[in-house]
Amino acid sequence: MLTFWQLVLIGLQHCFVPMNFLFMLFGTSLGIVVGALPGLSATTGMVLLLPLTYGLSVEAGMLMLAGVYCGALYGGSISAILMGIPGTAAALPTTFDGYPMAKKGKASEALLLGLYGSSFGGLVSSLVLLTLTPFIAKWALKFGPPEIFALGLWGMAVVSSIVGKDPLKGIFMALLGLFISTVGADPLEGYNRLTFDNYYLIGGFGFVPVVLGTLAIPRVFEMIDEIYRTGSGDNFFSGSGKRKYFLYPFEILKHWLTLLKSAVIGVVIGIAPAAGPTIAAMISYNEAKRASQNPDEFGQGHPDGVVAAETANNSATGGSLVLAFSIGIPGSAAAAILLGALIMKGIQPGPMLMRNNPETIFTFFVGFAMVNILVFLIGHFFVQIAYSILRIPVQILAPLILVICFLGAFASENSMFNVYVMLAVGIVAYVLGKMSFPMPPLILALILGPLIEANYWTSILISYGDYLVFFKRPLSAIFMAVALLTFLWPWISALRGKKAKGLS
Amino acid sequence: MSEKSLGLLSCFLSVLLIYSLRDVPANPRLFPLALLILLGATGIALFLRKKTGDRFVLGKSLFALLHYGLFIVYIFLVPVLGFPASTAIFLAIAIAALKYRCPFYVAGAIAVAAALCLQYFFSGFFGLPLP
Repeated sequence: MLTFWQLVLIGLQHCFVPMNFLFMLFGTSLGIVVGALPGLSATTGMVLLLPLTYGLSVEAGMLMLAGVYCGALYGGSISAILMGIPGTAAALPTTFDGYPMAKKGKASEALLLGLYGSSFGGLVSSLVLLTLTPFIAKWALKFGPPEIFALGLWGMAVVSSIVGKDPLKGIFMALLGLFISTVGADPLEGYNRLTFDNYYLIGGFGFVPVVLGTLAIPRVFEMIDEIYRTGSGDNFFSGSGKRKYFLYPFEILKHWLTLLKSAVIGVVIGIAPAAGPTIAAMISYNEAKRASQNPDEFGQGHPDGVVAAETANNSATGGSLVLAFSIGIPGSAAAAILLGALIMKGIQPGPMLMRNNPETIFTFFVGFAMVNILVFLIGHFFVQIAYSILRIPVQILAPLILVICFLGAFASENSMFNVYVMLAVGIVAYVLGKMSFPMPPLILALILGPLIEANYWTSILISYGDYLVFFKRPLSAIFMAVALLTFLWPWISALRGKKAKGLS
Repeated sequence: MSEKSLGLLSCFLSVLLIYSLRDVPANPRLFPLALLILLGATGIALFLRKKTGDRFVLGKSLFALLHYGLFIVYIFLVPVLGFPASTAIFLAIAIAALKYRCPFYVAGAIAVAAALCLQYFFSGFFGLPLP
């Protein structure tokens, strides 16, 4: 039987086979491009390349898919920072501070911070995947529906920190998002709700068209308004600022605490099945804001906001694969595709996977770490290309974004209905945006709504109708308590601030 | 549109949607019903509170809305003219309408190049079906 280090060396050997390395490079580059395009997710990229793995060796295929997965999660930050449109759902919190930084002329710095954070997070998660998979798998199984429900509530509680200056408007948008997520067949009985006999609504509103409608369309309106107001729109990105090619170590190391905390949050939350990178990024962003000495600067271009979100969403990647490779349960769509690729090659996932195919699995684990190093290296190149987008005149950029949104909305499910949803949501979001209603709570609620509802009902079902199940299981009770604390934290800190002022 | 009218509208819509849920069994109805009640209550709170001055004025957004109208026309043109032709036409008109400082034939050339690039990228490279 081979030892751990022997397996790591074999993995390294396989990764440096020229063909494997080339496909890893190809997958990573393609992943970054796919992630940067609004409407196309990491899963879309992996599905697009899945047929290609037929003709490849199992190692080359798996490494290519790993490249797409990690590359896309980083790529999502590019459009989030440059246009305020998250390329992937996990990049939503990156828009909060990344886009304001770009508008202030710090696009280059924001893109690089995102890159460094993503690579660091990804590397930490791959090390966890490599070393702790068998141990974590036992712990990960403790995440049942009550725990995932409580985790979803914790994610929702983060809304209190992103509601903006007017909590009532933020709560209104969060409720609206949760409500939109309930349209369609209910998760337990499959009963159609609020579908009005529309076939397309049975599956609910698509996430992609709603995100494009709420975040991308109003952004284009904003550009057009600026052109109309100033006559040129030349200053939309404040002259795009100074171009940077890399960050000096001290520039990234001053965010060391955020990097570390976000990596840990990402790894832990990534392990929970179905929770994934989006919740990790939101919770990490909230924690960075809570711990900051200048929380008011968050949302206006604070570098820590970008670092926290990007580190956490990439560090959740490895965790989401732990269950898939240890016991064969895919905890995310990406994990399911990877297991699918293994099955296509005649390898059966399950508890015996690591015992029967240790070389293949360790090649993947080592390759996963290498992919994150590749993201770091080629990411610099993509940052420079992406930065050039800001040089495109706004008059060309605005209609071009509209066309890309159209394609993204259509491509997400090959349906014109999604395009119509995007159009309708776009106009509503523009009107609400003009009235200062914040969009992030709506998107967050839209992501977490189905997770919360489905796991609520499953928990009630498995506990035979016990509504206290969420407080009887230790992990779930902890998450519930933290969720409550997170929700109340802005008010608690405001109260403490008032008291301190009163004393002084 | 003001916050007050939005609050009223949301309250009205909530009542309508609650009514439309009447035939849905209790368990599947629970979440949407609870959320609609809360949305209605938030709508009432928006209606009752002091004015904040945040309102949507149609006149100020007319230019942007006209462009949006152009975009909607483009979307309905795609199935008729095909993706490359309608995209090129839309981009050329939009670029010119947004007062980009260039002759129309340059805007046209940019539009055609962009349309072809997008078609190649999405359809040729990624193999995604175009509308």
